[in-house]
Amino acid sequence: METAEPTRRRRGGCGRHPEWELVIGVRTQTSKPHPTIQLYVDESDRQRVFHAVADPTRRRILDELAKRDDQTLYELCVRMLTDHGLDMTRQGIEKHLAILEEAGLVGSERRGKYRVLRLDAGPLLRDVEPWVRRLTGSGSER
Amino acid sequence: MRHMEINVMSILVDDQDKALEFYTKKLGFVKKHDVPIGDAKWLTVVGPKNLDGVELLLEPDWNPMVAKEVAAFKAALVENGIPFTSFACDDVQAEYDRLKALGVEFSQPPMEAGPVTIAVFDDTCGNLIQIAQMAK
Repeated sequence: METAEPTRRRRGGCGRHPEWELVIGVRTQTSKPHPTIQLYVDESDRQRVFHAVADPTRRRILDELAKRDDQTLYELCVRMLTDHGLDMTRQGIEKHLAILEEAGLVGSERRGKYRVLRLDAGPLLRDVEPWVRRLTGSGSER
Repeated sequence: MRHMEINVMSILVDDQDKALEFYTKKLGFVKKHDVPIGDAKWLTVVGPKNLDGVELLLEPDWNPMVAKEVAAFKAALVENGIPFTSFACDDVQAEYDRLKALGVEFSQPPMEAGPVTIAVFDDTCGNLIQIAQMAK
């Protein structure tokens, strides 16, 4: 019987926005080298932005928030339901909003009695747009 | 066959006098019952074109047994823009314009949502109320 004995180690820098190389090895009983799985974990702001927009529901949330500033959570839920037929729980939307807020794409603030949501396209211009322009060769960043 | 009818629905208000003022003078409902019960009242209003219709009970929210929980519930709804209930109207945009002119605060201006147009306003008694109009 083989016993899996996972070993983990981290390599690479550990700065404010570390890009870690995580090496997860599995050792067998016979101590023969086992293929290692290398997992690259990018914890940069840029990665958070790409992760946030990789999900179709979160892209729809951004589309809806772009239609009007200062929406309440209720308005966003109504828009998601009527425009996309998505009957999401408030918790489901909150989970996606948390990821979008973490990436800096959505801000929320109190306005009087209400908490309102606002789209911030800044991170897209900072992290996504230059990359697209570089690949498509249409910008100065070549 | 025996059956029940809905004759009253209630909304929890922080001040019954203020609520009566708002629901009659601003919204245009008509007072139906006003019966003293202890230090509160059995206070209801009805729609002006349907005096025998469903009554809205303007019910005190300060019952000490549940006041804290009720306050937390109402605040959470308001914070997220969620209306406590919804009233029907013929023309949401016209009603929005009329109420705005009377100083009523809206958390959501008129918006089309599938087959309905909706808007949400503050009733000044701790609740958000939606008005909705079905597409013709």
